[in-house]
Amino acid sequence: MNPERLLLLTVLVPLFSAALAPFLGGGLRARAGWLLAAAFAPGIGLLALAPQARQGRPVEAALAWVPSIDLELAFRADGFSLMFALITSAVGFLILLYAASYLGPGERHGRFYSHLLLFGSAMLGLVLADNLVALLVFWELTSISSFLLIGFWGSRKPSQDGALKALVITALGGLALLAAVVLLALAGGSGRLSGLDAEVLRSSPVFVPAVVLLVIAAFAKSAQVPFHLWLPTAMEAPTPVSAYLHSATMVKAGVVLIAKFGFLLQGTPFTTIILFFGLATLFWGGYLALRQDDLKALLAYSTVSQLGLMMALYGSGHAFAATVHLVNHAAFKAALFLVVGIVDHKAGSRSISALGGLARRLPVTAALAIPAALSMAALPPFGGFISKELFYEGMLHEGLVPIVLALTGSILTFAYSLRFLTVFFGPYRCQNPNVHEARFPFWLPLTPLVAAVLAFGLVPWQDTVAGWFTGLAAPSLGYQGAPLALWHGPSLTLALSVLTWLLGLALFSICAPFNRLQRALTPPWNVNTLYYGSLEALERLAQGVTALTQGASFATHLRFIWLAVAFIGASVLWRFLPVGVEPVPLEVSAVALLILGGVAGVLAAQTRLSALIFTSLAGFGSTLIFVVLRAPDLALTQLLIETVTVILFLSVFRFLPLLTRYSRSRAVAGLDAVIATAVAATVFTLLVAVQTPVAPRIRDFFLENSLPLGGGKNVVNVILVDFRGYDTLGEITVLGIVAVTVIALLRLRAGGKPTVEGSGREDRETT
Amino acid sequence: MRLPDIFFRTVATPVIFALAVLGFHFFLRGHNAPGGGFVAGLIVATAALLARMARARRLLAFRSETLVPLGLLVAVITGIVPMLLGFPFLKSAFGHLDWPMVGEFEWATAVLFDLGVFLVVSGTTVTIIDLLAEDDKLTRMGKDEAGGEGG
Repeated sequence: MNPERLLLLTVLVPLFSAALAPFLGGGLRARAGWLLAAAFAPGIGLLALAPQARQGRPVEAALAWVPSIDLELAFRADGFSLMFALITSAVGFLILLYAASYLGPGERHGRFYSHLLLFGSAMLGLVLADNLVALLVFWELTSISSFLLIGFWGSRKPSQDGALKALVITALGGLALLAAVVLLALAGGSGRLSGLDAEVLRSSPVFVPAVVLLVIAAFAKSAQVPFHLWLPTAMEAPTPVSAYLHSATMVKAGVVLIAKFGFLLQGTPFTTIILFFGLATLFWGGYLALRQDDLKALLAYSTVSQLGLMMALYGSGHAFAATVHLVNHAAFKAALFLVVGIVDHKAGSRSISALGGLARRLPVTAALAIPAALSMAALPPFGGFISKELFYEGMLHEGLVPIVLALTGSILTFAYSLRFLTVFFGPYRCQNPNVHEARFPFWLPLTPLVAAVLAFGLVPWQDTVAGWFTGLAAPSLGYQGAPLALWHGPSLTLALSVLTWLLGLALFSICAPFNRLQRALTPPWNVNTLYYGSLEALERLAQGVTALTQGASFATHLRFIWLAVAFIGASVLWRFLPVGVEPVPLEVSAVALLILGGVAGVLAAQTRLSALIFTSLAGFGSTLIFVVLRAPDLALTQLLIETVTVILFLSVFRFLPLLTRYSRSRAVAGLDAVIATAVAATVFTLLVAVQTPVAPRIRDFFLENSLPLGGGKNVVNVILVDFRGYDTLGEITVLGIVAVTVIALLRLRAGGKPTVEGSGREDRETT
Repeated sequence: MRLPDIFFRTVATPVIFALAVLGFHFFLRGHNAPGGGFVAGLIVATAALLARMARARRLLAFRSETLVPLGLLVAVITGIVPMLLGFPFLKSAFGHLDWPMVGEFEWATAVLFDLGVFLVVSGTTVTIIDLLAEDDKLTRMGKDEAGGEGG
């Protein structure tokens, strides 16, 4: 297969599988995961492009997207993107296999797999995209699919809260990215990431705002302080989702963004800013992780912390160390999440204080958890040790404060990693007396991840697994892939590592009193208080505005709407005051009198029925005008619309009270008269204004080209279905939405159907 | 429900069929003469109204709201197929076929798009009519002023 096609298939196959998943999920239930995992095969097949990428020759592919504005869906597999795409595909493959055992029989499997594959496609698109617009679209798509997956158990209140919080914060980042992309594309002179000119951009006046927005987007997505609040509540998602989105892939999107745009940042003060935010996140995430009792929450805060580490490394230009840790983290953190999923499933609890000694009952799971957790603790001979050494080495170049923060963060990491493992050791403690090991399809997907953790530590040399893999990103991120090794000889970094272990062990041994201290020190407010506070304020504002403008009275609604029409019209139209009106044919004047009579009749009508008849007089009058002006299509349509509306009106009359004189005070009546006159004047001016050509008339184009280009003699119809097909598509979509709304209003309303639903609603209202 | 008088009912049946045929005719000729999917959809709506008023039953044997997503699907597919062939979204094509016996016949892919419009318009209007009429059955409490007028 040629490389370009493989690249496109990598993104498109999961996308189409997402459309297929609901059908498979209906029939095969959970087992559909085994089949759907194959959707990531093209992504894993990207391995074939690795030799090319190592030599710094990226593969590029593009699909026409909106050719009229020169926009294409461009993908570019440089080494770094390729490496991350491989991680996304491989982890995605394993997660789908795992989900087949994780999901219970009563779940909505089709929906779950569909959303997961949609996410997979979006994530792959995000890392491989070269076009800035495509990058943004995929970025938003990952936020949306993350929202859907966190809210998978949407009937639960915490799920709703978690999904909403994740969406609000990552969408906020998405808006920042939108602005950043626009600024970068305008100032950099290219809509392509690979075409941006760093020199031109840096001298541009929009450089600073663009980079600030970019950094905000990256921080929001990668849960950096102060945006870290969404990641822990996102743990309401099913565990495979947490493992995939919220540890291995999506949350790294911000880190990836900083890595990809690293070439812009070098030598600017932004490197220091990102470094300190990253280190602060590393410390704060670790501090909060240590006090968690829920295993998943511990891992969530740990992810926040580790993302801070990667952000600090990429931000300050230590791309090699960052990449090594990114790969390590993807392996050990995904494995640990999957371990928690098994523990939760088998023991029925995720609480550290309620669990203990599980290693005897879950020997395989424990055997898989231990290397992963020790890798997170940065102990040799696991991969985490190597990347932590590189991290220390990088921080030693940055000065005293970074190294102290790095050391503190790592001590906390060591302590909570050991705390994670306590559920497997000590005396047996569990609510459920019948804990037994999971069947092999459940734990099998973990083995490649744990094997990677081991391989990264045990055979890290240049040409074997780890060195080869991290070397992929070398040409695109511009670093020299130094040989990885467990033993560097006695050095300052080793001393720091030993110090980390000793102090970490000490902290772990006083964990219980330390947790009490942490709880005592908890301030009454945090970023969550701010988040909920502003959400509440926004809701109050919305309620206020709604109460003001959309009260119970329909007349008030109309007054607001027509006032707006008159105001907007008047503010624009005074520039197009009538220059001259063509003489009106005599027939038209006659029909106009008919219409006027209808209108006058409506005003004078005493019953609803007569008002309706007068209204239809005006309506059929308009039809006559179209006939007089020889517009058969319009006349036909208007005639049918009038007929159908009048009959529909008649059929809904039974629901309305008898027409009583509409009582209003003299002042309100005067106001209404003023509004009506203003609207009439606006409409009149508008009609005259369209007579004044402000641009070449398009009607001649339609008249000339309807037959040669559209193949139809009925110009109106050709415009509708061909020249302006997009508009029509939009219109019929709106019509469809109207149909759905009418169905919702009429069929589903309370009382319309005396069913169980109806009584349930009443219960809710009274409680 | 009290059925309307026998003359109205008797005449209504052929008229409903005539309206259906007329709608189809207007749909087909829309490309070259006044008509098209929108108008044809509205004609079907009048047929549905007549079926309701004269015979107190729905026009279609199936749930009419299914036509709405179906129509949107047809319209979107008409847009996507050109994309797969390397053209922009919604690019249309037309041509002439010379069939033996039938004579020259013009085809245009825009008609398929128009079919989508027709399905959405008729689906929406017929659904609204059916819903209003069915609602009447549930909420009617003896007083039936509009039904009498309709008949």
